[in-house]
Amino acid sequence: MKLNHSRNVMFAWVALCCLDLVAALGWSGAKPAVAAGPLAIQGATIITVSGETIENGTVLIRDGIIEAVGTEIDIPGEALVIDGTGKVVMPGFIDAHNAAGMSQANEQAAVVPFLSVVDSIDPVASYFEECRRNGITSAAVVPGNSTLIGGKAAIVKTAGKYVNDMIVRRDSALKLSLRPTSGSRMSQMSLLRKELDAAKKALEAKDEDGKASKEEDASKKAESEDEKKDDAEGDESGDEEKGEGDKDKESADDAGKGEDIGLEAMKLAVQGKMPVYIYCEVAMDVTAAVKLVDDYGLKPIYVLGQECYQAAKLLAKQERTVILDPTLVYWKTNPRTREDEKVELPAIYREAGVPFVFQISDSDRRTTLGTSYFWYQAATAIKFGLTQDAAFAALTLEPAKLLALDDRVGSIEVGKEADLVVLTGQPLDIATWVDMTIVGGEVVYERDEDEKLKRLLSPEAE
Amino acid sequence: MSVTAESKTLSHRGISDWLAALLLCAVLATPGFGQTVDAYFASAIWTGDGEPIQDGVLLVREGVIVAVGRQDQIEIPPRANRHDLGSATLIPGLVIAQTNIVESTRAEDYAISPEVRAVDGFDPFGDYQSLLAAGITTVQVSPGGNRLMSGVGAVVKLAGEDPTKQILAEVESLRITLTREGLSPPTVYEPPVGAVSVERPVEPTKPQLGTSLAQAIVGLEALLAEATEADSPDDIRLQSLAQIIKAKLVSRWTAGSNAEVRAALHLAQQFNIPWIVVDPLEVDLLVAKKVWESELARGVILNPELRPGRIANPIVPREGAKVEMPVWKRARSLIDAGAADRMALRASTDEDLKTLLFTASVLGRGGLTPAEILRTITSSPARILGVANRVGSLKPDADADFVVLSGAPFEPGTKVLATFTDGRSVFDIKSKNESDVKNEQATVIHAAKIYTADGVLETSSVAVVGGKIAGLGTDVSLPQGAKVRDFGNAVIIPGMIDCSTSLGLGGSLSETTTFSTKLGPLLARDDDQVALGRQGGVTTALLSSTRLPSPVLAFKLTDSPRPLKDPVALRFEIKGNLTATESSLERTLKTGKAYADSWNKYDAEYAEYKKQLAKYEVEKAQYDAAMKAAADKKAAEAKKPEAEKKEQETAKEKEKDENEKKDVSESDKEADKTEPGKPATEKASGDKTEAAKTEAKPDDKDTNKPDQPKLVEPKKPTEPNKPSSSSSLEAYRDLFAKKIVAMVDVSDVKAVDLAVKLFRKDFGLKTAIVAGEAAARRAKLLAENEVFVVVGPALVGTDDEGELVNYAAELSIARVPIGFQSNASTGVSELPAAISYAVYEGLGSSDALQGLTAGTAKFLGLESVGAIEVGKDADLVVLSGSPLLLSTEVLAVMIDGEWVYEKESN
Repeated sequence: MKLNHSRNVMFAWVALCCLDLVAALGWSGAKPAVAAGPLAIQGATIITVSGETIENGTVLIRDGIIEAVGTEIDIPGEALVIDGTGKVVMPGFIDAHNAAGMSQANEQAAVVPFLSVVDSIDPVASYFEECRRNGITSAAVVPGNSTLIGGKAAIVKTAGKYVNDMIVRRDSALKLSLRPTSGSRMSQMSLLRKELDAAKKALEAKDEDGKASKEEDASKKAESEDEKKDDAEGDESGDEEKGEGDKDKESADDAGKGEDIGLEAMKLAVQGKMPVYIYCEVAMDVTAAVKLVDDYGLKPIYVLGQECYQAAKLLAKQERTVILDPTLVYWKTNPRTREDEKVELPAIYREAGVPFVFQISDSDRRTTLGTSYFWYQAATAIKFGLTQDAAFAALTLEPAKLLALDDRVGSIEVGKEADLVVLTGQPLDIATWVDMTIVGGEVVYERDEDEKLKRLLSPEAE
Repeated sequence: MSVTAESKTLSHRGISDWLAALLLCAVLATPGFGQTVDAYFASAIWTGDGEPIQDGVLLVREGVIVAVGRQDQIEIPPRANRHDLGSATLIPGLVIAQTNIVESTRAEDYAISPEVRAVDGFDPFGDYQSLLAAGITTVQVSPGGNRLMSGVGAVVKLAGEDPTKQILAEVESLRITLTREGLSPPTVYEPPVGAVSVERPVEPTKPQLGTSLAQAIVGLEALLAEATEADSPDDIRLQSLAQIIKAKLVSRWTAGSNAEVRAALHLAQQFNIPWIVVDPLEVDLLVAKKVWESELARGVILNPELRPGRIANPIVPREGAKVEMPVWKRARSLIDAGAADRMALRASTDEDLKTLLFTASVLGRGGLTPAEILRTITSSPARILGVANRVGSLKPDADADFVVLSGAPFEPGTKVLATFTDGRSVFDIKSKNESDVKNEQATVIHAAKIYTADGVLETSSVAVVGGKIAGLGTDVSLPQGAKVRDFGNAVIIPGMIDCSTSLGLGGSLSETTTFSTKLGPLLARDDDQVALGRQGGVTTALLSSTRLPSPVLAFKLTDSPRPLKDPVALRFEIKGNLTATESSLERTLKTGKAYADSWNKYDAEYAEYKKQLAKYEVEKAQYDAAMKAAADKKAAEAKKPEAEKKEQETAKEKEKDENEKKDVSESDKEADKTEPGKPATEKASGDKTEAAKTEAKPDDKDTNKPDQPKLVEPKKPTEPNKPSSSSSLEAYRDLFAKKIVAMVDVSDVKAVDLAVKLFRKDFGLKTAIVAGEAAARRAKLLAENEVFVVVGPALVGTDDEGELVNYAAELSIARVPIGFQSNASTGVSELPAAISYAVYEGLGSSDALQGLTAGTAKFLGLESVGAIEVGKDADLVVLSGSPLLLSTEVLAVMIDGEWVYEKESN
């Protein structure tokens, strides 16, 4: 890969641009010199996903934003030009649900709506490196499936030195898991309802409080701990005020403090302001999830276990994009006939009319290599009846829509953020490599400089 | 709907289409068009409420019952799909008033958990086929019963297209268990979230409410009172409870004794909540009419206390103790008290749900009619559960949940043929049977007469399972999923045996064979000749080469002919010059006998050898064990000196000696291992003495003398030498062991005499002669010598004076056992007809039948055929009338449990 950098640019201008960027995006990337000027990829096949595929096209990026896409684009003199001849450019992939990327995720405490993954995201986690290597540019880091209310998810870009550089959206969603942690589904659900009811009640109380004057309220109900809680929530308008309130009560209500922060998230979820990932392990969880969504007005993102396909019809009625299990095709034994049956999830959901996006399996725990790559997932889906365009959309634009990021990423359109993947050849071709990954207009991965990959492919070179 | 269709057609179609659309709209206006109506005709419909409707019809549209009634009273829409269910009976899908069909029945820790909902534990995608197959379509699911207040139940259907619509009542009743099961809650431990500190200490475990009935009642009363009074309580449990009381949700009390029932009724009345009493053992309080006049009385659910396949040991009542009323008496008295429509029966456990249609009939002991019993598992539970408008009875506007039974409910032998929910078939016994393995298919055949080994059975049945006769009698046990064939006035006889045919090889065999030739593997599959030949009722045929001598094979006339015994006989021939034949045959038989004898001798010797060998092995094992123990001891002693270095020097000389001995003994032992036959040597004596010293086994007591090599290795017995083996003579071994038969074709009277002398008298073989007239003349001789005669195909001839002679009859009169042969291929089918002439001319039909079936089978040693008897092969011939009459026709033939010929289908 050659970078034909036009050197007839005033250095000061470069520096200024650089500062601008740093100020605007909080950016402190590894290669500020590259990110500074406009960047153009010329002569490549551009799969825009949102529109037609452009042959021999050019993408012009300025300030991390796609400035122009098309065949006849004037490339400014100062632009860094990447020769895209024979290459394919696609929008960066989006991982809509992954518990990787955290160091020490919570797997123990069952009800922790107050937790945020942001506190645990590790920018140097191998997950992010793998993401860049495989063309994933945005990822939703979500608490795992082992806890009932696992906390708050965040959407991040997969490149950055510090967590703050990476974050696209903090507290992007709340995570619920219907897989029983201990005991039965009945107690799991009653516990979940209890929390949701508490949030609902708190909201109602807040409405009432809003009507009455605050001081009156406080003096009347000073005795009751629980009412104090409500009071604190009532003062949501001012954060400092709330903090003071908390301090006052600290000694009296220690446990309540944790719940308070959690309650905020729960309240947002119940109001439908914060989306809720609902992990369904088996088909009966889907019915429960649908019921919860109806009862509490949640804004759901269904994350499905393998067995959930039995509820495909029910999911189709929900008219929402779902996130499939990483294992798309598997064998299971019919308990009655003792016959082995092949379950092809993409085919089942496609036929039922359920739009879906993929998950990749945790690379640390994978037993097969394929399911840890989005490429493989897309190819599997195509094998079982998905069109190629739909499969590409399921890697890019569909998850972007699911995460409400489609105004920023997910396709190659003017005005969107320049999160791109440059491939050495046709996508889904076995011989194709990710040649370059661009996040926010910055080249964050180049195959030519991927020492680990080189070592992997030619160990003798060492 | 019609409006939108119209507007759409107007805007999008041409004029001609528009006209068509107008027509369509006209039709659409008539109610019910476009929704297909299914009409199910059945001989009886039990609606679940009231008496059955004879010759009823059930109309179903869109999963909902439109009408139900007598066929002559209900107007059936012309376009209805008609389903004639024949003699079947329709009942409503069964409704079970209480089950625990939830994903996990693990009890909650908390004694009071009204917030738990059973509906969350119901898996609509679960496999409920076994319950649907038992006719159960709707159940109450309950959140476990091991806690005082375990949660809220729900009412669900076990099948449906939309899982969310399977839930009939999400919140049905609050379960409270006052019996012992609910009164032993564990203590609970609630660890604090986060780190433990002085301000947040680890709290000790807390005891819970309700370790005795009195405590539980007081506690419940307080709790209910708090929940009633509290405006909006903060505690989640109180909150749920308050909602339940406010919503007047039903309370479901598991209460056995009078005290428990009293407590339940008292609390329910005090807080004005409707109640259901579950599993009452004492009903004294419930049989008061006043109780059932109350609006709060939702119902009572009885436990049949009966688990098919299990026997409980009733407790011997103490003197003076009150004896509990049996469940049927309780049911009766509850009905008398006015609870007829509010009394339901549940299954003792979830496992017993499948048998509820049977267990429910126990209420018949209390004088309940079948209709009343059916009510306790259909409409009454539906009423108790508050879903009577939808399920539990067959009535207009109810869900089309019904069960097709093969006969009246609770009658023995009545099976669930199909189950429907919302008009959709969710279980069908046919589709189930098709998937079963073919030869496991059970068939039950009814006929007017069955010729069994013990005589003729009138109006009886034969049950056939897996190709064998499994049952026989007037009231045969019905195998699972059996297909029933009723032949009405027909007669069933065993499949017949033809003693000589040229069937099975696709043509007759005339080549020279040796007695070592196995004909079984040569049998041709799907032979058309066999298919034709068996139509007369012959199911087993014998086959040999026409060039004698030849081995004889017995085989079944199935599509893939099955060798039954190969060989079943050796067939000889006496013809031509009798003197020459005699000497050559004698020589042959002598050779054969000598061969057989040599092997018999060897067999005897070998058996003795085996006995000796077994004895030897036991002795050898004992000997080896002793040797090993000695060696171990030796090794241990050798190690000891190394550890104790100080004593080493003093013991050196001794050790040297011992080591030498040890070396010798070890090498000796090696030799023993490789050559177990080698006798023990003196060299091992040193070891053995020590072994004897250390071993305290009683067996070794006599060897316990020092320096006495008593333990001698046992001698292996020698195997006897095998006699030389010859494949051509091998068959003689069975012949002389009388396992197989010598069949001798004879041409005249002299030859008969010779055959009897040679085969029977001289060599003592099991002999059958194949002859007609000649045998008849020597009937007495043959009878005396117990010689079997194969007659046919000609059974009746004329003597020198031109008089008719019925060979078969003559032989039978002389008590000579006979069999029949056709010597034909497809003509095998004519054999019974040929015999019918002999019968016409005086042969007793039972003698003839004996010769065609059991007699011949016994003589030939074909144990599995020849009689209709439990355990024998299911080779059956269904006749239109008495056997061996020319007027009688073969209706069907079964071989090995499969119908190979049916007159109807031809």
